[in-house]
Amino acid sequence: MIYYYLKIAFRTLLQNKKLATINIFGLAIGLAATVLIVLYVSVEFSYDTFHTKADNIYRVESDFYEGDVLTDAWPSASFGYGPAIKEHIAGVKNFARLDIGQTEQIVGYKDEYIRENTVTYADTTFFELFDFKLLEGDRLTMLDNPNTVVISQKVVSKFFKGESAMGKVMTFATKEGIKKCEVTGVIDDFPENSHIKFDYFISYSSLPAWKQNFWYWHTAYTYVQLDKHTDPKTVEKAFPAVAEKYKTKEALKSKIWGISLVPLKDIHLNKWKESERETKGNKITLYALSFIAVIILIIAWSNYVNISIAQSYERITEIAIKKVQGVKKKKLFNQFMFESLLMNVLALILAVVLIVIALSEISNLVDLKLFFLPLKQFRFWAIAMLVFGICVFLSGFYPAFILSSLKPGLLLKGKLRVGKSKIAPLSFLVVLQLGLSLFLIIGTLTIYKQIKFMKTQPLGLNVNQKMILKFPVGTDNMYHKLESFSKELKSRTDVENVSLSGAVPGMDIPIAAANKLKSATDDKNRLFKMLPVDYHYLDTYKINLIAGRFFDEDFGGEKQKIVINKSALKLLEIKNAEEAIGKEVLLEEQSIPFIIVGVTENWHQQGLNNGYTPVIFLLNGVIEWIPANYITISLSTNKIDDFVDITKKIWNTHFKKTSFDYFFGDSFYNEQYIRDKNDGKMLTFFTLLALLVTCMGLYALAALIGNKRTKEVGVRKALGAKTSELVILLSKDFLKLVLIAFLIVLPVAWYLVAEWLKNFAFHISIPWHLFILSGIIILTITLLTVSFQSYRAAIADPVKSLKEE
Amino acid sequence: MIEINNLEKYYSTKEVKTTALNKVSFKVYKGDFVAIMGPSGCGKSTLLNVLGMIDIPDGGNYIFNGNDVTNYNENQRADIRKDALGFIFQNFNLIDQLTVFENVELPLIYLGIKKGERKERVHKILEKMELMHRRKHFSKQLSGGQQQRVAIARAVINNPKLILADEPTGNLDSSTGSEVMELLMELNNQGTTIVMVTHSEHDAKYAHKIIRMLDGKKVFENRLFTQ
Repeated sequence: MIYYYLKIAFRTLLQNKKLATINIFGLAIGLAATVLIVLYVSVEFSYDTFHTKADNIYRVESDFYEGDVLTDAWPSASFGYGPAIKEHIAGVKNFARLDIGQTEQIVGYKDEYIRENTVTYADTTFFELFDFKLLEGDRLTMLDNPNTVVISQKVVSKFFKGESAMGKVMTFATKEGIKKCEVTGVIDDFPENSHIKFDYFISYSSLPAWKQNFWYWHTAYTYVQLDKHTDPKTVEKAFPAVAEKYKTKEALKSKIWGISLVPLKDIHLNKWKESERETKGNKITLYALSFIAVIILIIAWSNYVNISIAQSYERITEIAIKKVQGVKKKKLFNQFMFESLLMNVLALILAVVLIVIALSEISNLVDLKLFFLPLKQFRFWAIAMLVFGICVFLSGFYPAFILSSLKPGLLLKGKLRVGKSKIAPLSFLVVLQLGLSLFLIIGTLTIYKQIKFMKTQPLGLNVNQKMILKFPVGTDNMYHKLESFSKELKSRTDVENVSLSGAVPGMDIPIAAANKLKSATDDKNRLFKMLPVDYHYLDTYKINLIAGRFFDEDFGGEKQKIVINKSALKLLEIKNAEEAIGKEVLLEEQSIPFIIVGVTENWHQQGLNNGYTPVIFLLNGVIEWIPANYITISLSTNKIDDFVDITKKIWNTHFKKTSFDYFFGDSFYNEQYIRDKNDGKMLTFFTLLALLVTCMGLYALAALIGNKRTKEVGVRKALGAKTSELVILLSKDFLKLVLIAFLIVLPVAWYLVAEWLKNFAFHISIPWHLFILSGIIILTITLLTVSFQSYRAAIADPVKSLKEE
Repeated sequence: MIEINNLEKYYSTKEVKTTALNKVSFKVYKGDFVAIMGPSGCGKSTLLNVLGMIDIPDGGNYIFNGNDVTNYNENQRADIRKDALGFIFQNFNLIDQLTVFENVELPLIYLGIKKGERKERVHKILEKMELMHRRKHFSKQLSGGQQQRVAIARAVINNPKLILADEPTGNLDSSTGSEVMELLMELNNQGTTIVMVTHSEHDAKYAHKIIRMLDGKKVFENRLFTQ
């Protein structure tokens, strides 16, 4: 029987090659898109799931409250949280900290020095909590002693080339000095789907003693392992009381120090917070993609259902004869379900081919090794089989049901008319397809508009033509050397300006301090970003001053002066800029107040998904724990490559044993949007696929309907209808469907677009004209697709069509 | 073999109710060859469909082979069609996607007959119909007469007790039409009961009995020969 089903299915396919192609390709595109999206999404959801203790590990994240209001939230905790939690709160089994305060260091071995941004200090318990694969060393004791380091396989091949790294001594240099560490362990490189990625784990005891349990430096990612039955909520609730014992200093004393315990597996997809190291996944994008996968599948299925039903006209004889011969409904139903299975299998094979073709493109977006990880999981296959089963069922059920229930008496009489009877293609499916495509177009256009807006929005400063160098290794007279280096640069004609600062635009300013007006009460302490700069920063970045002045060498005695931005003004509760000049501010840990000498306009320190940052400028070196890190060179030349070469030469004469590392202001700034841009690209790609599948379906449907109405067209022609009138007649029904789809989608899209835009601190207003544009796009596409077929039907010879029957 | 009493059948649309069969009664005996005649729309095809259990009557009763099948459900009726009935249509109704061989073989597949036996039986009947050389062709490659011979072969392959023919020569020229009628007569001579709807007085002459219908009523019944 199966052989017979196969035979008849293949012959039907061959008889209607065009329709079969559309059907199979549509389904294949749908399946391929779904498989790709499912793979991508499962990778994103697989982050940090490979640790055996994953279910009981939480990251301790800091939340500061004033009353019930959450004022600050960081992904890290202070050095003191971990031990305090374990000591005072029941149900906590273990904890481990990673210091992220000095991840960038110059690493050296023998004569090789490389600037690395993957250096951390780790508790000896770290490798007990996490199951990262250990290649050499003793998991439990390798970080017990000070000045030991565990490195990754990548580092071994970089520095040791075939030699064993164990027992070798490496140097780690920062501005503060140089540390020597012995290699006591080698771990395998980090899996891509780990939110923790470091190459150097220096033993925690190598940190200065004062820092190890310090409560006022929140740069420790802290992980706790809870007992199986401990509710993380109870730990969170108990923490503020514990913290009260430790927060003895003035800073942030008025705030409630709280924590959130974020499950390890949720970290990657949670909302991004300041000083988060990894590029986070975006849940919204993942949901959007999954949604699109479903949409494309629905569109492809709808095509299949509609084409099958419309095409069934040509199979009426077959169905009728079988019924007359006593073939039961169930058997016919099975036959049509089998055909659906066959089509889906063919589509699946084609889908695999499509995926293979798309692989090189995909590899630009994600790591392929990771991408195919889910293929090894039973769960993936189970879901895949389920989806495929649903696919077969949904696409086959309705046609099979309708076709197998037709009454043979009517069939043989040729009384079935496509158009008004129940074997008419389902208009609602067409509306569904058009609506979903429309929705995708609106979504894509909105995303692009928002990205473009973010890129073109005045930032409040100028990041173009800026070459930014990272600071050299700390040596004696480093500042002196830096000064002579900048002087030499400044003497060049192609350099406009040089400025030393603690951070540059596009990055999170690393240090925050709790400050208040001297006249204010202690509970007015607020967190400000502290940006140490030199006299040239404002000129270099062209930030506007709105009151007072910037630091100026000519005034002398600028050490106790600060400049603030508008956003800081608001936080200090000063009404206007002029009023701020001369006011005294108490900075955290400083006994002598600082005087405000100027107020600047706000600028976008970070991408437009973030709000304005309250910033206090102070001169480099005034407060020791707020150091400068970057040298910005403002260029007036276009010969960038030459300039880089020359700068490197100058650098090498001033700083030996330090790698020369630089980046450019504008591209660095725009890197913040890469994720959004990639998301946008992916969404566009899949939107186009969805559109393509919709068009294929419309095209086929228009052809089939054109065929069915040949007689009507013949009669109308005989009665004198013009071709143009006939094209309109045949296309009109589709236009109605477009209109209905538009009206249904409009409010839904409006709502969702508004919700999405809320994710951005600075965003476009709801782009209503894009809605209209999307409507016009879908209308045009539909018209083009349909009218081509309608035209063919309309110019057919009327004599021929009337003679038939 | 067949006994129908006061059969009624209506077709209704929103506006009108049409009576297709109005209290029709008659009997068909085993081995009979009955021709049903009448103008277009008189209900003769409806009658044939009811006899063939493709359509369900709205009134009266229908006794087939001694069983009252009036209220049989779709599956029971399908079983009778499969085992005991053969259909021949004016427009042949061959399945385009299947070859001559496969079209004729189809009923046997659904009867669950094994492949070897199917092949044997189909070949036997195709030889009889002089269609062996055409067995691998598709229906569109055949002439009208050949197509109708294939349809007849398909109708008789399951050795039906009753053949229902709906204007079997309606789409054929007169000489091919006569060939088809000869074939039917031969089948009848071998013992198969035949009920045929026709417009053609010429074809009707092959029958033993003529039933004439008008506006859904039987108006005339005339036995030409007795067996």
